[in-house]
Amino acid sequence: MKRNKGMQSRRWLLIVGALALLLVMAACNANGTKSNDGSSDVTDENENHEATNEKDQYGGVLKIGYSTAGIQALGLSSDIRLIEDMFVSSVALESLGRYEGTKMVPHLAEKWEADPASQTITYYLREGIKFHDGTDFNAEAVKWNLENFIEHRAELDDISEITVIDEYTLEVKLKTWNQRMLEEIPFYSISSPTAYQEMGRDAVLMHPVGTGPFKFVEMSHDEYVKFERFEDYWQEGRPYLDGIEFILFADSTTASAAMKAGEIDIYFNVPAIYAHELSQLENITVQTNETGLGALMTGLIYDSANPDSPFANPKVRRAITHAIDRDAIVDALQYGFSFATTQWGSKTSPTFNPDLDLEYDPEKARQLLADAGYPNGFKTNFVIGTDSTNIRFGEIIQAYLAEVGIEVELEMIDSGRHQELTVAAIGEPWDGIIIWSARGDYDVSFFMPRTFSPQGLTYAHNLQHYEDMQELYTLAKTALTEEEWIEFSRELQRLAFDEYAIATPLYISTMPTAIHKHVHDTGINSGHPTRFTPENIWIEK
Amino acid sequence: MTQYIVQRVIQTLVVILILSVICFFLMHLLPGDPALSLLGEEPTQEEIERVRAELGLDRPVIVQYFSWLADAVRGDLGTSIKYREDVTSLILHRLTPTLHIGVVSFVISVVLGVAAGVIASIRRGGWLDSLITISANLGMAVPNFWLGILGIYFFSLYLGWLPVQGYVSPAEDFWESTKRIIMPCLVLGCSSMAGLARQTRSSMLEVIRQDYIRTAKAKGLKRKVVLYKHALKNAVIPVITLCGLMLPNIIGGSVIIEQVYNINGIGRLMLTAVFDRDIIVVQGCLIMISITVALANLLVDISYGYFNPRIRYR
Repeated sequence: MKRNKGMQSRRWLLIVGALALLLVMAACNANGTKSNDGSSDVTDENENHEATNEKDQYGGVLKIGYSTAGIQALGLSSDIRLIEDMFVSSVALESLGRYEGTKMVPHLAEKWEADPASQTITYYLREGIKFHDGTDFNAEAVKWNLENFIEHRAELDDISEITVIDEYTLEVKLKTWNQRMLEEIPFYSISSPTAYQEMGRDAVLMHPVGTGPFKFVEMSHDEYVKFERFEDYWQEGRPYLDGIEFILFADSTTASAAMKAGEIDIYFNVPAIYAHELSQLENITVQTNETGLGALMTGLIYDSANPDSPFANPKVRRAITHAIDRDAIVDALQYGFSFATTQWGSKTSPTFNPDLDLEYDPEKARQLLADAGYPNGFKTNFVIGTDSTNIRFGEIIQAYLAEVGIEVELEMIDSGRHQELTVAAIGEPWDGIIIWSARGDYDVSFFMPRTFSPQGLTYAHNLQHYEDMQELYTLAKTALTEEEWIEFSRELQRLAFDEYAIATPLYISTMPTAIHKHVHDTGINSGHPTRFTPENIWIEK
Repeated sequence: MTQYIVQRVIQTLVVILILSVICFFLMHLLPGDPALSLLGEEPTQEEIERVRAELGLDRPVIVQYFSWLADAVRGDLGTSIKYREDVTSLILHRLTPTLHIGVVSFVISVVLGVAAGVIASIRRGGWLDSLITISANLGMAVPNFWLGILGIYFFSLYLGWLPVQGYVSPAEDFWESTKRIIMPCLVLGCSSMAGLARQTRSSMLEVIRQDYIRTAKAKGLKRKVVLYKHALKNAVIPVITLCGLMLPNIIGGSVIIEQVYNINGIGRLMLTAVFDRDIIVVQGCLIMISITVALANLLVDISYGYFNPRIRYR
């Protein structure tokens, strides 16, 4: 009897203990993070919010999450290569121009004047702008940045001379006229030359010192980057926020959960499946970018340089162009957060050639294969990555090609091996088809040669090259009028994707970014996806 | 005992040396080039050569290994290819969250696992025994990453009780730190806890049937004394062995847990380093983990003597 009583009291203790634990955890909830239910409160606040006076817009720290393999460089344009790094550094580093939609407009520059006849571009800079280290932003600083860039990268190699006319005027002379420079030069960000000289290159790489609305505070690799408000920012009354904190996520599922729980305000470049999930929530909007600028274009590319490969025949490559239903792939795999394309860039871009018929037509594909001498199809290899999205993509392509008689075997490789096969400088050929990634920017005379010319940096070592395309690159690049540039670019699209069918573009990501509705005026995806308007962002209280 | 410890330390050093050779050469056999992962999408031949020369990757692999080894024996684990930072300080910075979560998880799994095993053994055949046995089987079968994600959905998103991700040092904010590590610790310790519960239950059942336990009961000793002083102390030896084996699992498990809960620890560092072919960081992590596991196993071996004085080391 006594023993039973003891047992009973122990059971009670157990129950009381469990209840105490529940209470403690409930207290955690009261003090801590916002739940999904809590987020709906935010929506109610949004509904009640009608007019906010400017005073209420100040304050708060914005938390932006993104999934990345790590930070490579934040402080120098010449070393910033990842789109995530560009996005992060853009709160501290500004550039001479900014994209509004697909149009480059002046930002740190007041204006620029181009003279194709004399091959010069003159930049007139804004006055009274300071770098975070207190030094002046002027023509000398811009000259130093451009020279440093040319020393380390090839994109501005067409510049022959940079002359400082006066403190706020700079003249850039080109070797030959290149209309692309009108967008390239103002795109790259400007850092403080003094900070570079004082801190050294290695330190500056991870410590951006620019003219932006936020000053770098600290970073922890793979964890966070913190910025605080720059009090001497050149735009009156800006920025509104006290700071911006970027949080790096190793896993997209966690980042998406953090977004739902309200632990982050913005999730940059969300994978399509999570963008779809987050877009269903009332308190979150998903902003997409329809310009194609800076976004990842995905497609298929072939070992056409191998004379023994069926893909050495352009008819076979053209057959694949017609064998795949791009819209269906975008719906099934990208949940609508990409747009289908048959050429380089989006269908709305000026260089898109509307006269080409490259749409899904399996019958035409079969006919082309028969014309090429493969009436019964053939067997080939498709090299793809090892993640689940890649595998699904591979299986879909496998199914489409099977419909026209091409039997595809999937070869899964990791990212390291993929780089070895695709970087032209390494020169190791792949076998059959490989997944093709490129920037979806529509300026084909600038972006296409990076892959399709013999000097191309990726994939080029395993492709057939065509003389007439090389000539057109130069013609389009040096075109004096927009009409000429469009004409040459559209001809390039015809040659690349119809006549020679060097590769098969399938879709371009819309770079979906999820934003909580209590965050306003982000400017995210209003132009180039790596830039936004951090100075205008405010958080609804 | 001192002689035994010295012997074990020497053995550990040999193991670390062999591991470092295997790891270094295996990493070099993997496809992928560290210079390429540093240079991103479109590197030129000149850029690749410059970076390889800067990082010393243009030298023969054997030279690279001995150069690394010569620095390592002097306490310099080298500079990370990716982070361009000293590997020792990188590892020490990342070791804090991993050790914090690992130790708490270990303590939770030992306390709860052994307690559950004892309860199951003394309530053998009852509903409590069935509940513990089924839970233990489930705990061992469920993968960590799935349990982790499930935990996030239930405790963070549905109930809103705990934060989804991140780590805060207890020195900075003890309460916040505790909230953030509860889930990772429970998930990390789940399979160990289950294993310990099963092992403790079976060891206890075996010991309880022994003659000396029957004698102790016949002598009229209190049930508590029989159970905890005579039975548990004898049953605990295989449990201690299991605890020793758990340690590498807990450190290995941190790779997944740190990914799921976005914790910047040694597991995440090692995984990123493998993907980026940052051989120097992988080597450093491996040595640090080997030392930790070797020390823990040494402690386990020494503790045998305490629990069972018949065990002596020569």
